Amino acid sequence: MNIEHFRAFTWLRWRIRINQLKRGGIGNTIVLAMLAVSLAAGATGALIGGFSVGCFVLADVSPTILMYVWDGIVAGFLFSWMIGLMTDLQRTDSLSLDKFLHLPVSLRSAFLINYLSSLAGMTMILFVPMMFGLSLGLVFGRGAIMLLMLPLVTAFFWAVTAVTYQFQGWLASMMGNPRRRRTIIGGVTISFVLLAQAPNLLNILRPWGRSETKIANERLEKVTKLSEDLQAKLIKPEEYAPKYQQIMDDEKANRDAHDKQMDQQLEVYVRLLNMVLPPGWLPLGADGLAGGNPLPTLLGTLGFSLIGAGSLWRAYRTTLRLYTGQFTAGSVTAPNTPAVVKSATSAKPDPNRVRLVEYEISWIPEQAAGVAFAGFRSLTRAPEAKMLLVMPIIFGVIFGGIFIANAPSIPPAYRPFLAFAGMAMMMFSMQQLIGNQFGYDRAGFRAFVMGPVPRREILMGKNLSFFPFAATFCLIVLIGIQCFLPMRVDHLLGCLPQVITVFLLMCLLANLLSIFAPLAIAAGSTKATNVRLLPVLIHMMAMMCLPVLFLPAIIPFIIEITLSELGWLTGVPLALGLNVIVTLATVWGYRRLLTWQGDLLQSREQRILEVVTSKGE
Amino acid sequence: MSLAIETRQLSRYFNDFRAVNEINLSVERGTFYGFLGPNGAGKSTTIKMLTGLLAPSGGEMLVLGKNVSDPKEALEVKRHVGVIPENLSLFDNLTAREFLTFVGRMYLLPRDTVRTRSNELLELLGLDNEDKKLTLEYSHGMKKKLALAAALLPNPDLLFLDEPFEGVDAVTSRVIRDLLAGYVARGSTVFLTTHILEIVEKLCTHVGIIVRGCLVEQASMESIRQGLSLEDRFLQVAGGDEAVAPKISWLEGAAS
Repeated sequence: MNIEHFRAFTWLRWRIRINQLKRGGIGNTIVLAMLAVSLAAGATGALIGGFSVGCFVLADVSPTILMYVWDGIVAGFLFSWMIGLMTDLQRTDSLSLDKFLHLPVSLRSAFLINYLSSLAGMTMILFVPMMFGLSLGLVFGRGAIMLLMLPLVTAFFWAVTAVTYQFQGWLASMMGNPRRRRTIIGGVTISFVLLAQAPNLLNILRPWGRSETKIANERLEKVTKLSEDLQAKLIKPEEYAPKYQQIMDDEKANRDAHDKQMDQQLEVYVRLLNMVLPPGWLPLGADGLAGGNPLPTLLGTLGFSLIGAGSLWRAYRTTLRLYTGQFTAGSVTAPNTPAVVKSATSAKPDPNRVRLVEYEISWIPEQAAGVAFAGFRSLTRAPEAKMLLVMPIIFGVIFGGIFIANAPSIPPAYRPFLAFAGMAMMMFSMQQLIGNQFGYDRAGFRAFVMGPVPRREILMGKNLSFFPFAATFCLIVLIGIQCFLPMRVDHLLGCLPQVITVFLLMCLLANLLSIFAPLAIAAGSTKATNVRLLPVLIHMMAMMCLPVLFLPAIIPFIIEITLSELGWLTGVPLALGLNVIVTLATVWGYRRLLTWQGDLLQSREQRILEVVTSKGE
Repeated sequence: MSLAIETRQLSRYFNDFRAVNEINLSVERGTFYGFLGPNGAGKSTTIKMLTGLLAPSGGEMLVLGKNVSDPKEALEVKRHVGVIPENLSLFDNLTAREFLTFVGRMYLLPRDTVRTRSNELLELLGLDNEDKKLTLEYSHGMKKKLALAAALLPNPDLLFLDEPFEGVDAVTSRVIRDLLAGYVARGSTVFLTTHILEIVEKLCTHVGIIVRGCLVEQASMESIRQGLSLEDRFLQVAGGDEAVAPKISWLEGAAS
């Protein structure tokens, strides 16, 4: 590696960052400076906290407990690391190698700079000092043997970051094909989300809770039998108390035995997992050192180092292949093969086929329908839209499952509130997409600005393009709730117009967000580029306002329940009628406000265009 | 003859930088107007303002006799105008045919008209075999062709073309040139920016030259050329002939 090249790349990276800060404006710089100070304070706190815990709290605990602590830290680190990875799924090298390939420079220097740049993240800034602080604390608390934790932790970070870098590079190479890119981004995101939600799924299933329930049921049966015996005068009253105490003592003994067995089982499983899964080598090493055995630590350090070196080497090779075009070179086909003939003749379209973008919608203006169907078509194809649209489904299943599993005793009269909450959550999870409608159009937004379409129709069409998704998600929620916690028929029917109400209310807010706080989105990702502080704050504020915004939709059920509780009106499906009225009022209000919002859009469209077509460096 | 485009003191500043400085354009209807200038002279900024993509800092703009700064009049003007902007305006996730259908609907064209015109334009521009490809998979040249098809689809009275020949192959370039020549011959207007002076010389009836934001020449092709080639005249007006390349000894000596 040429040291001059390395210094030049380091300077270049620094200069680009400074220029980006200057372009972001003074407000952005101040906020970033405040964030940097907070992070520095957090890192210092993590270092001191980790050291104190290692030195004083974990000085005398058993090796197994120490292993559990490290397991928790490693799990927390990986979870946080994974979230960071999701937001930047495909590797975005800070220095694109294709800008240097024609120069006589060391590509390894640029590669190394890119790898080191990829490490700078909140997770690393907080976890590195914490884990090193903890290791140092353990040295002081438990003895010099714990010094071996330092190379083990270093090797752990080296391995995790190198594997991640290799993985991101592999994804980048796979995404050379734009169509495959969409599938990969969607698939990987969904896998990450499911993986991150695994603890929640485990919590729903609660396999460990079955034995506890069995013990509690046994106790309940015995106590019931005892009470029945007392009532049937099979036992004397003075015998009841000792027998009852005996049952309770037996249960406690059973529980203790059960807990002990569970602890032993847990330890076996955790040790096995730590051995099988490489991240577990770190806790296993800590456990070994605490027990006086340095071998697991040394083996772990060696293993991590090899994984790190191998991954980084592979990442480098992948990068080289990517930039030298080996991934996209394809195979050489002989001229005039049947495949060539086929591609020239089979691609002829059927001119009479009616395409989705040609459909009309009754009572909806032609231009709005055109925008709606073109928008819907784009949404069904765009990977970023797929990623965002799959979130409501996943979160609906996870959170809905948890809620239904833990709260089965909601009275039927109150279940519409649960349906409302579910629908609100669906809208909430779609806000990122609907609230930045033009951001995902990118250059396509120019077609709206240059076109002769009244801006009201553009907004209506854009909103309509999201309706099939919103309606489907809400219907899934309603069906789910109806299956597990059935509502009265009139309540269920009352929820249907509620779907339209919450959607239109959401659209009105989302239109304002799209007009006043547009964000540029990098192609194929959900990540905003050239982020300014104010639009992000506006989006966050809007998210907090959503529950208040949706209040009109739930008012009919509140009125019905209040009147019913007061005994003034019972057995009348009042909420159904009121819901229809509220929905009609919302539709009327939406149409009126849309004209005003259309004017707003027209007055700000050039500024929106400037934002959504801006590209990150 | 009435004017297709008229600007009065049209200006655009970016902070302290004057990208376009009080220009007075006059483009008559039925003319093929070439708008020339060196890099960064303000050509694209002017087109952006005339097509509503960028708000001017000052001055007036009349396109097809209407004030495009007025929101209501701007919509009316846009019904009669086709545009290929500098960075195009395509939706990544639509096919060419879907995009043209979308554009046709925006101009309220009947479905059959959209279909017929789309088929003809796609065939003419050689995009008719790419029915399953999304525009994100298109090459830059194919994207240019699709943008041209979209601009022509509503059969506008005025076409704004910002660098339409950039990245387009020679065969298609010839097709486009013939198409545009016929389009102007029937009485429509084209406002074109390009760096390819040969094309301007062949096609344009009128030329405007902008240098550092100022309109320094505006006349018919014959008047502009003054017996010289367009390239010589352009270099003269743009100041290119005065710039003498400084001597760089190490480039002119023996290679090291």
